[in-house]
Amino acid sequence: MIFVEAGKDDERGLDAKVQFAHLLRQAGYHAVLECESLAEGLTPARQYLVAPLLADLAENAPERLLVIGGDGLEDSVLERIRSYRLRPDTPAALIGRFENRQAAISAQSKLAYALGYEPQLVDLCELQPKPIRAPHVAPLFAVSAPAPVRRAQPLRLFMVLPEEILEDPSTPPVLDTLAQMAHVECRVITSGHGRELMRKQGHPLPSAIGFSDLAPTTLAGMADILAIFGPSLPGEQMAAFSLNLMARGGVVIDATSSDAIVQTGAPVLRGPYALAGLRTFLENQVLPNLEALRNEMAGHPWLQASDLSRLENALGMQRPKPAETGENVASGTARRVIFNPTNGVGLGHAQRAAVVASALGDDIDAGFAAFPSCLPMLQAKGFNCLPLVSRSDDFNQPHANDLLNYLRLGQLLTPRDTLIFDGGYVFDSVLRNIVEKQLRAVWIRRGLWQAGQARRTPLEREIYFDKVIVPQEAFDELNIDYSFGKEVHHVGPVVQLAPQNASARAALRAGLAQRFGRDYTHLVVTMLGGGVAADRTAQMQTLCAQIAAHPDWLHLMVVWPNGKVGAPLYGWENSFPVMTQRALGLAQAADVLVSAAGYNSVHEVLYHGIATIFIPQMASYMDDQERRARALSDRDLAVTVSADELMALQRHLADFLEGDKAAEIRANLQAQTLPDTGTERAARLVEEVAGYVR
Amino acid sequence: MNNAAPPVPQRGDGGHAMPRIVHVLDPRFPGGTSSAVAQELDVLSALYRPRISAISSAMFKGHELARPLEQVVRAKGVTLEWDPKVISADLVIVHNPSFLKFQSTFDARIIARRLIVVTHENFLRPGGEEGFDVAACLGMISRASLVLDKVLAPVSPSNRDTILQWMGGENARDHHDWRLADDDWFNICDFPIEAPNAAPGDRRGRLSRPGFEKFPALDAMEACFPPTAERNVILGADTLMPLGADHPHWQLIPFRGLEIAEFFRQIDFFVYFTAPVWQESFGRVIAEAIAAGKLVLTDSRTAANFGDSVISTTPAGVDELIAHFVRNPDRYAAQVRRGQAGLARFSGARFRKVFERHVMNMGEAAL
Repeated sequence: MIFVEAGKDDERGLDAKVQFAHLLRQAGYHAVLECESLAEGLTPARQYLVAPLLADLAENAPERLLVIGGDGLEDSVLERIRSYRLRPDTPAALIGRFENRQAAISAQSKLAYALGYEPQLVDLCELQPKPIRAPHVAPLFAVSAPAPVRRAQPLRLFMVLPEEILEDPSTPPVLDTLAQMAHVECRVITSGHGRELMRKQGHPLPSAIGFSDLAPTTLAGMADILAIFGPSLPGEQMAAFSLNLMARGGVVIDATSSDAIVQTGAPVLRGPYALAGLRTFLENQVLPNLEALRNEMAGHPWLQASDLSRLENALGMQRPKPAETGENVASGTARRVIFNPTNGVGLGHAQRAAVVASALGDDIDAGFAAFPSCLPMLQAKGFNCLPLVSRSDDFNQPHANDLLNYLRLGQLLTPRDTLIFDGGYVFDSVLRNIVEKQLRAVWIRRGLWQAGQARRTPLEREIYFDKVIVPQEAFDELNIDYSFGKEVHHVGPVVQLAPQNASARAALRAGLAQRFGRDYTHLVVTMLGGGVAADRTAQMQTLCAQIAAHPDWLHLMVVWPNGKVGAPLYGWENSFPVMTQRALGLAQAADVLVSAAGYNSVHEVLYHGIATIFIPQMASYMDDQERRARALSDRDLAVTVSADELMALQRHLADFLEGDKAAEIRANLQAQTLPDTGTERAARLVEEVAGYVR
Repeated sequence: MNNAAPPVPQRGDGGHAMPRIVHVLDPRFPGGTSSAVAQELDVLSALYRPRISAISSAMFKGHELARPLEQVVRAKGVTLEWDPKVISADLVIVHNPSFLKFQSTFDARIIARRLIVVTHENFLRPGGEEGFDVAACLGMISRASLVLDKVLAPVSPSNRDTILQWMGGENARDHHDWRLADDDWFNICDFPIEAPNAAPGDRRGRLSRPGFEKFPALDAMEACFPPTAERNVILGADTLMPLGADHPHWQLIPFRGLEIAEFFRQIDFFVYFTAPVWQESFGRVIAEAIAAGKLVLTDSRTAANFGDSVISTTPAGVDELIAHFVRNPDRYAAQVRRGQAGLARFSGARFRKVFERHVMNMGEAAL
């Protein structure tokens, strides 16, 4: 375990040591930051960058200490290093750019006093006379890597744009023309203010990435071409991004007005100073010559001088063999498909993901990373599960659980895995793992968003997935395309199919009679969401009261894992809260189902012919259950009542159980033509992305 | 800035005419160097009217004149000239060449028969690393000097060892025209002598500037100042303050947070260890503690400068030694008195003799 420190505890020092630690990680070293070394109040983006690097010194003995930015050691850092109480046989090195011998002696002495023994001193002025940017804190080296094998076809163009360019009214049209380029996918990197400008101006491009949002090594894996505009290289992160991209065979265009990179001797292209000239430059100079440019860069002396191996040699560090790193050990196993359903109101995402997972070929190792509420259901289906952490008001920040999930997913996933995310919003934990590990990834994203929900930001994250699978609603008027592209695949409804025959139904009903100790003629099953998205106590009480008047009726209230059951609901003679993983079986056994109108519930009703009264749940973060339910009731395939229509609810229940409404609904459902389910197609798409050719 | 006073005919103890002598230093040097030079000037002012050529070095930019020097300048009528273009005298004494370490030129010209550079700082640290860029500092002085005799004067035996070792190394290849003085240019330690405590307790303390070099590793600090001690007074503990919560038995006081006399009143044992990769060139604070009637425990290298005036030990051995002396107050008192007697080696009277030897044999270096 290599502990990385920076000479100063300021923001620049933090960014530098994070950057350097990520670089060392890329080379296979277990580089960490001491958790005490972090300041309070880091931005969320920095928290994600830092989190996987943190280690507690009390639990981890350092094997080596590397102090970067050694030309500016401050006392607080030295105090912390002294508190490490390193053994004198722990190699320690001070890395910096020392302006003269005295500066080197002073710095080395300071660290020696804090350590109690002599550190090695590496003077980058000697080791790397022409860095890509100076001054700098983080050593600017790169790990040479073969040109990445691209799964997606579009060339990924990243543009570093300063605020002044984004403020220019001529910029949005220029970006628009760049966005229209065939086979080129554009991204902008800029400051926080620059991102705000882009949001306000409604640029046609996806949201910009901030300078410090992702590690330079990660950015380099996401790009093929980088064009840097503005007066100069805007910081060490962008310098490291440029360098790492070159080391991977990417093309860097120096469009800075000071020729900042060209002047270092780096193998970059001198680009147009104006953004308006970029498209022509790309079309005429870059795209036709990509292969030649890559060949030109391979083995370039400047790049060799910036190879991390130079620093490793100076430090006497032996790069771990690939087999020694955790990631590569894991990659020796079969390719896995890991499903990551989000934690919706109920089990819908997990249920749908499980349906697809179950349809995968037997030779595929499918597992789940899922929230606690879904684990029993998934485990009952035979899947291995990594528990994730649910959001809680007890955490001090809204994204605290996602930070933990980011780490858990990071420990689970290897670059050979395929990640299948089912949910409406792609969390940072998911997105970052995809880009950092360069995972194959699929987004299962059901539609029917509420009006106003189709914001750009969630959809922009689509570009990080190899495919987007959109399970269709059964009725066309409910299917709306929110995004377009050849990797967006619409498949039929993904629905669990477990039809119950008459004898099974009779057996289940008899079992229930025994289980609840009462004979009954009518079975009512309610699945109203258990108060997660909306309080349904009034509706349940209404039903319980009505059902209590019929001693020969049995009412089972299915409670979802996160559901809350008010005490009054336990007092009814023939109404019982139940938790079950066989909800579909219960629904089919019922004489009437009273249900919310989630995607899974509605399609299970449709495809199993279940007589149902829908009470849609509505919350700002949910799909449009009202429209979905009305689509059925408008066709006389169900009845829909609003949450406040309690008397209508009672009347409909009586119609279903004492009249012939249930039979009528069932007959209509029987007669309804439904689209083929999309489960198999979804499974095949997943297999395709995962690299399983059938 | 004062103008240089015209040299006045002066006479040494032997009645011979004193040569013209100029002391060169940055008088803003904090800590030991200024204190040592101030005591020298105080003693030497009985022989001649000292002149200081004060150099505004980059190292102490923005610092004030060191108080001990300010006092001696005022009290003894020492002439102080800032940044002269030419420093001309029979003997020029440059104190602590490390004040030049953050600059690339020495802008004054030195013209003298003899140039003595008093090496208040060790040239090498334990382990052999340079304490500062010695070659650069000596080179600046050499290039600025027109002299017949260039002498390096160490302040202690251990300081002498580091110079000898440096002179034998690669970095000294252009500096073999410097010769090493026969006598140590020791710090004058004419401190008031206090009687030892007749009933010493396990009351420990240490005093230093707060630099990291002045402190041993935390494990060693914890061994030297354990919770079992009756008192652990650590003066100059600025960088240890964050550890206070974990070490409630440490009385942590920032540098200059307590009068030194009051500090010594609170302790019976002065326990002084430094970072193992640094060493005091003389150890003025140790002499101060001995004079204050304290029993001093320190490492063997530092102890070497003081002979049997101090007890040489390791942090692990501190507890046992203190327990021994607490149980045996007579031995405690005897050791303290032995130490105080040993301070005679660093008296002003002896320094004057050493100084005169430096001055008197200048005939060999006739201009």
